[in-house]
Amino acid sequence: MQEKDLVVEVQNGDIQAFEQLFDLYKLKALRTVYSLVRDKDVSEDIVQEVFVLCYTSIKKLENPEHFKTWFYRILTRTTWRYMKKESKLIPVDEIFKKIEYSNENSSLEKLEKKESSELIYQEILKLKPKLQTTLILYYYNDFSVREIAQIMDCLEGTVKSRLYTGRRKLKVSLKELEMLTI
Amino acid sequence: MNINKRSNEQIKSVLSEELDQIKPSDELFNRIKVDIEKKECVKEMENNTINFKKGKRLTILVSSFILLFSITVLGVTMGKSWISTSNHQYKNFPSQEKILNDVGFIPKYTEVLPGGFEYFSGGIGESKLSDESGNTLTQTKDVDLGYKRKNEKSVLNLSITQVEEQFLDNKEDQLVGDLNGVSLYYSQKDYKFVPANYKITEEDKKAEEEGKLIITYGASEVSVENIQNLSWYEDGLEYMIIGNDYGFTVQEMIDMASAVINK
Repeated sequence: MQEKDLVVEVQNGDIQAFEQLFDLYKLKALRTVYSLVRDKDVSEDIVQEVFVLCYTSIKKLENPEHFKTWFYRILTRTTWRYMKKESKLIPVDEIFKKIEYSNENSSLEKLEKKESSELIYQEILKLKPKLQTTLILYYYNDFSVREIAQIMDCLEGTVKSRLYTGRRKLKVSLKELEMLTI
Repeated sequence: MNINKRSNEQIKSVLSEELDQIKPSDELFNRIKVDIEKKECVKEMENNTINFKKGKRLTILVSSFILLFSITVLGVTMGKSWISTSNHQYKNFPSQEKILNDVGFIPKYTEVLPGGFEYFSGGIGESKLSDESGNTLTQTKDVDLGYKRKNEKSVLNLSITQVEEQFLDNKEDQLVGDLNGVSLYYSQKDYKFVPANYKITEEDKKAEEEGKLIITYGASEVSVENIQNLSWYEDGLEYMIIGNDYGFTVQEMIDMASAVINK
């Protein structure tokens, strides 16, 4: 069954169709939220709230083909609301911990590459929520600029500008990683 | 490959490496389903489309749920209705400080209960008692702690509520003991848990009229379970130990109450 047909079934109150829709979206949804809040339990709570809201308000979605952007709009807004409420930006310590406990048997080159990857991720986590969300939606969820503009309720130019700013901020770390891969 | 394209691929690769290891827990969809049922139940209740049945305030556990504390509980006594909602935020055994911070009181509770029960999961909740016209008579904060025996799915619940004694209802319960001046009340009944949109059958009606069955709304699927309940009131808090289909003797439940009272 195509996604839009599933959405129609859910709009008619079919909980099994909703479970199929959940299966399609659960991984990316959870990982997207996790990338912003960095806490697995909190991420699950947010995803739970989003899916409940999705089910209870899906009848308001006029065009089932727009489900994906509609769903991600709820997802990003719910996550931002949480972040604003908790002022919970990323515990960067966790990343350093990961670096410290990297496999001791790794070659120096591999270790350096790993650390450099971590550095890029760390840089992404330091970005402001909207900039970070733009990068996650674009690079991790493969949304187009137009779709991100719909999800984040902004102009396509704003999305492009955020992508440019994000890449610029990551430039130094990216160069380091590139040196190691040449 | 140009620099921009390479950079894009590096960012993609870094994000995949970091995020692809995150996986949802197995019970996430069940929790979502329970939340949806709860919302639909409350919505129907607000529209007065549910016929409330006799029952006391119970944070009732349904064995078919993996996580049990998100259930809306409905019950009516003498035209009054209790509605309870709770969450499952205590994935680990909660400290007294945590509970005090969350609900404003510190109850007696233990990490294990006699009979091989160990703390499993818990949370806090709120309950509201309304009269027939929908006027709120009292609102309470609740602590719900779940205990499991190894290799069993069923969860035994210790529910603690800060409530004035005048709102307690144990007239139909049997006084089964006294521990340090605390009276213990016991009851057991068959409960039929049903979704919010469940239509009562003639058979249900008959069993209800005969006092053999209590219909309770808010579950995701229909099930009939025997609920045993032991309750007591101490220092402004009502304690209830509730088990589904365990077949406890009264003494076994008194032993559990004793472990909590003598904490």
